Amino acid sequence: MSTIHPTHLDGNPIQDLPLSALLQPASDIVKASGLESIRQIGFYHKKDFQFFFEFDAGRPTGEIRPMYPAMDAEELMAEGWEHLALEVHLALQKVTLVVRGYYFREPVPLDFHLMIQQGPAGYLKDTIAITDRRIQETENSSFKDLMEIRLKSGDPKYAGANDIYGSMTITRMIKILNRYLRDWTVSHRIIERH
Amino acid sequence: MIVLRSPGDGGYVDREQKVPLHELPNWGNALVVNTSRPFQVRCSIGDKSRTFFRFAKIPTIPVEFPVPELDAERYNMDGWDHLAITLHLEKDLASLDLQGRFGRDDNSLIVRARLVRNAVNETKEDKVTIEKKDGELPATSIFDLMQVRSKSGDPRYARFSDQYPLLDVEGVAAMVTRYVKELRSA
Repeated sequence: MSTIHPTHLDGNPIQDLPLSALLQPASDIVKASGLESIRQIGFYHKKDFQFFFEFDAGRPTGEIRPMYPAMDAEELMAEGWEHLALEVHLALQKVTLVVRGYYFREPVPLDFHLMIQQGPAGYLKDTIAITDRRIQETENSSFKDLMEIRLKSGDPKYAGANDIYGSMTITRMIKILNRYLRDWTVSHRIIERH
Repeated sequence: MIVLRSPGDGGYVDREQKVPLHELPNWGNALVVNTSRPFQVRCSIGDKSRTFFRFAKIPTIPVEFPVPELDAERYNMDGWDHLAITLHLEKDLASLDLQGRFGRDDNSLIVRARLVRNAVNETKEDKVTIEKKDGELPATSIFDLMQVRSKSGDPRYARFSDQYPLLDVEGVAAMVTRYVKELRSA
């Protein structure tokens, strides 16, 4: 049985940890389970919540330990999300955060998908795709792009002054995303005709 | 795991005895208590085979549960277009639901089987229904399928080693597969 870092995993949901801190526990959890990878999916819908462990091939030959961020569902869903899946995928030396869902703020309905993959040397992938359902057009960007957007004063528009790309906690990232999405719906109220 | 003896002929292979259905609550009860709600384990076989656990909240204890050992490729080759095997675990109760479509043409069969057992091995439900294009066949049960014998006296759908009170998920799935395979070719 592999060792799971006790300070990161005591059977309770993780709070305020960056993806990089989850790398070693993720490897330990995956090794202990006997699987190649495990997807943890929290599905939020209004007042309903469901939590999934999902895997493709094989079957676990050992225990699976949950390692999932504790989110305030009410706070999360109040932002305009109709439904939201927050996924933390665990693999050997790889942790992937996926946020996908349907967001609606009058009059803009959008599908959102973010994927950030953490490897030992930093982020391996960072993509954001926002699809306006009214016109079925997708705008691609990244979390890095979003953090670099600045106000006229030079201050970051969505990130905080102390936020550092690559070492932010999941809850902090979600807060920034929510700010960005609120603005996105405002700036996309009018559909541009080409 | 115990390796059950094969009959030696008839094309059967050795099969490890898995955890009988009525013993699954022993594995699931702690999780039911921990999450205060029943939970499900589903193995789906089809274009994209996958397995998942579904909980009403995040468990705060390690999840240790004997996930059914199903060879997705084999079930695909047997003729299943798609098949979902779901275990629903409540306190001291395990329900096995098997639902799927057998065959990939217009004459495919819609198959549903349900076997429910409690922790003291009482069978609460046992039903198999098959829907053909021209209507539903009379319902049968896993118990009835186990009684069917070939002319030689050998069990027709069950394995020699299968015993009704000790049935496991893998055994039920294999038995139903043999039954629908024969129904389709009849």
